[in-house]
Amino acid sequence: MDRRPARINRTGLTLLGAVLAAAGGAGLARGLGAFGDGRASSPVLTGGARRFAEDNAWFWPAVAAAAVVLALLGLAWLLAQGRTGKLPGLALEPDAEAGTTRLSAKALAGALEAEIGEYPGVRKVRARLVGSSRRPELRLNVAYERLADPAELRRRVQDEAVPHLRAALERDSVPTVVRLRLVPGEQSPTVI
Amino acid sequence: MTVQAAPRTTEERREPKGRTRKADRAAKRAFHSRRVRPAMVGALLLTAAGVLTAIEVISALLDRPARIFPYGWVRDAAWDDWYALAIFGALALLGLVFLLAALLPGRSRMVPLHGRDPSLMMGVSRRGLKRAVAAAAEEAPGVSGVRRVRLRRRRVKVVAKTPVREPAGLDEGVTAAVRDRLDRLEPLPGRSVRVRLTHQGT
Repeated sequence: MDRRPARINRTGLTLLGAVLAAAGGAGLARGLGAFGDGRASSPVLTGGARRFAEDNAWFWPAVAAAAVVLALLGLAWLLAQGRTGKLPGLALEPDAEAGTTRLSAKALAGALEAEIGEYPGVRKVRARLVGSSRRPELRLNVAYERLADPAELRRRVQDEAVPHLRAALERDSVPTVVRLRLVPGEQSPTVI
Repeated sequence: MTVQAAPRTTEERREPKGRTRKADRAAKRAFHSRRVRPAMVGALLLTAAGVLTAIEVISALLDRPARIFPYGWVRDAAWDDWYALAIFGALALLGLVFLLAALLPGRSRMVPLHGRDPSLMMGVSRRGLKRAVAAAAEEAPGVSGVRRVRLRRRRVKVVAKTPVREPAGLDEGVTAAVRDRLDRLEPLPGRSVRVRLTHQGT
């Protein structure tokens, strides 16, 4: 499933939120005198802390390394938001020694888009095969117009289009996520 | 006048329970919010803070301080200075916002649909579901238009216009029409229907 970014986001947000809230809360509590007024008015950077940084040669390089690691983590997190890999092609018989049949994922998606695009009221279709050749998955986005009936669209996608794809891939089940979206649009009256 | 109707059990519900329940769970999960936006903000902040710190520290180590960020005042800051308080307060607030974004379920623009096949997850946009409900109400006898459709988690509220002065009994027909449409589409979780008819002029 396409849920990996969801889990990463949840974990990342929890960790980041907890660290920031703890640090901010502790600093705020100290400044407001929760640990005594004397400690509230003392300087944040004490002489001792500064001397520690000066005496230990490794201190600032360690801080720099930690900052670089944090920046890389942030970058990796950003990149994880990208989509799961698009599948270029599929091998139909992965273990055949005599040769394999390769299917172009683009051709399959195109055929599916054309088929669903013919349904009444469908404006635009985007089909993408993702995952691996061994476990392909389908993402289908169907934009339809005001006049289309989503229940009928859903029935045809479920009973016609998806079984066709499964037959083409020679598989009993291809995990599929279908999004039916109503798009606003001019209702162009067809004049013949 | 309002009429309520509980979600009707449909034929599919008679099918093997385990399989449809699995399918429903899969569909619900597929359309949960992925929290992309707060995550992007968090990741960007993390990256920016890391890069800025690295630049300052490394440039200072090389005896050529970049000084992109003025930090001289930190030397004299006390814990109860107003700007120290403001900074810590902002950090704590930001942390709370991120925590909330992680813990609250978030909102998805898609409504999952009940299906029989756990490997086929379908969803319809909230707009699409609202429009389908409005279309069903508009086609019901005695309705001249739909004022508003509100989509709740377990309930759909429709306010429709009618030219009839005494709309007693009319709302039952509208409710049945809307419920019929919902039964064909089967949004998850099942929603009850509530219809209110108002006179056209008012």
